[in-house]
Amino acid sequence: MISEEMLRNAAIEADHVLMDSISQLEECHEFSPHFEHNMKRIIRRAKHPLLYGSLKKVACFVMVLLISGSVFLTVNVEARDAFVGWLREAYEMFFVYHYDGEYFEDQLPKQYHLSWLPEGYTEFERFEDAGNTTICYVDDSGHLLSFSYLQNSVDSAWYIDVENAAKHSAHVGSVPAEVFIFHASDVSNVIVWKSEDNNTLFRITAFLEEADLIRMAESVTAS
Amino acid sequence: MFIYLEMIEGPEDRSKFEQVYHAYRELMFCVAYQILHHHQDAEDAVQHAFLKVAENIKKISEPVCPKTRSYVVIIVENKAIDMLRDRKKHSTVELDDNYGISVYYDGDHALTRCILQLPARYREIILLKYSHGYNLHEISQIMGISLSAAIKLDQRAKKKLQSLCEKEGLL
Repeated sequence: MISEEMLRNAAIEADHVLMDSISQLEECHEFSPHFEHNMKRIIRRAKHPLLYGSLKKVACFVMVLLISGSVFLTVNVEARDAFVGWLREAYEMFFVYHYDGEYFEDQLPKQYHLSWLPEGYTEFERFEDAGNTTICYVDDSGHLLSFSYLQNSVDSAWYIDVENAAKHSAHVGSVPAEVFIFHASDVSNVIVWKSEDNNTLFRITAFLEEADLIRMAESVTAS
Repeated sequence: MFIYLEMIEGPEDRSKFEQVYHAYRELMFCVAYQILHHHQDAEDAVQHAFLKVAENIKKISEPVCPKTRSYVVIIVENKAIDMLRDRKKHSTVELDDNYGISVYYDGDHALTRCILQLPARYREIILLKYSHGYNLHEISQIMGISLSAAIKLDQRAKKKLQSLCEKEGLL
């Protein structure tokens, strides 16, 4: 019978042996420009992910923008032009949305707010960083709601954890949107969409039904 | 008390990933190349591995230390084997096939020898669980597999280890 303790001790020794066995490997590889380029993007993303917490459990999400009509984009050049700058990349368990277009130094950021909120929610925190703005609300029961928008930013990326989400297509007014519904009491649902002029990505996360998410999204107004 | 939206990456975390990257990228390439024998594929494996490291950066406490070195080596080995299996998916490749880092052990501990004789996938989960102390949920995230797949892998690894131990006369 092998006890857990014996297994642990042997695993630690095996780990050391393994590390010793690779210590002679020569480390003198010159990485390709393609690799360096891709790693710069990964490092950039690693610098700016956001984490969401709830009262029950800290949940890590990646926030993202919505690039709607990806199939449409592949066949329509005009539509592709309309989406210049915003990219979505799909990984095993999350999506990453980021801006990959030109940065306009002289462009003043717009401010947005939610004109409609479900009853009981009040603002309690606001973050602004590198074109990424998030406003947090909470109700009397401690349920969180966040409204975020991303504009003119080459340094920020949004991620959304899609592992346990049901993804729906929806519309915010006439603009296509994506809704991520998590069937768990401790993970908030998410809606992501972009402004009609394609310059801004929006996201709302809340412990609310899809209809309320859409209603809030449709109430977004430039301040 | 409110728990609110927060930035996961403070300045210390921002530098953590970059420290890991600069400290271990060449070593990780060497490990991947030892398995794949192809420069471009090895770079791709390193890149995939760093994506996993970035996703799980909170699991790293010290960016440059023996534990992190072992952690990133296990991840890149895992990714390189994934790529090798993809490359050979048209032929029959079993999980038991002996891919992975070549290890030589002349010590006296039979159980250690048995762990090192495990196929790489099985060895990885044993090391992550018993040497690094991760639970199966965390391992599923690190390896990019479902929790149920991690549970099955763990069971198979232990079964294989038991079989090796029997051959060694340990059981």
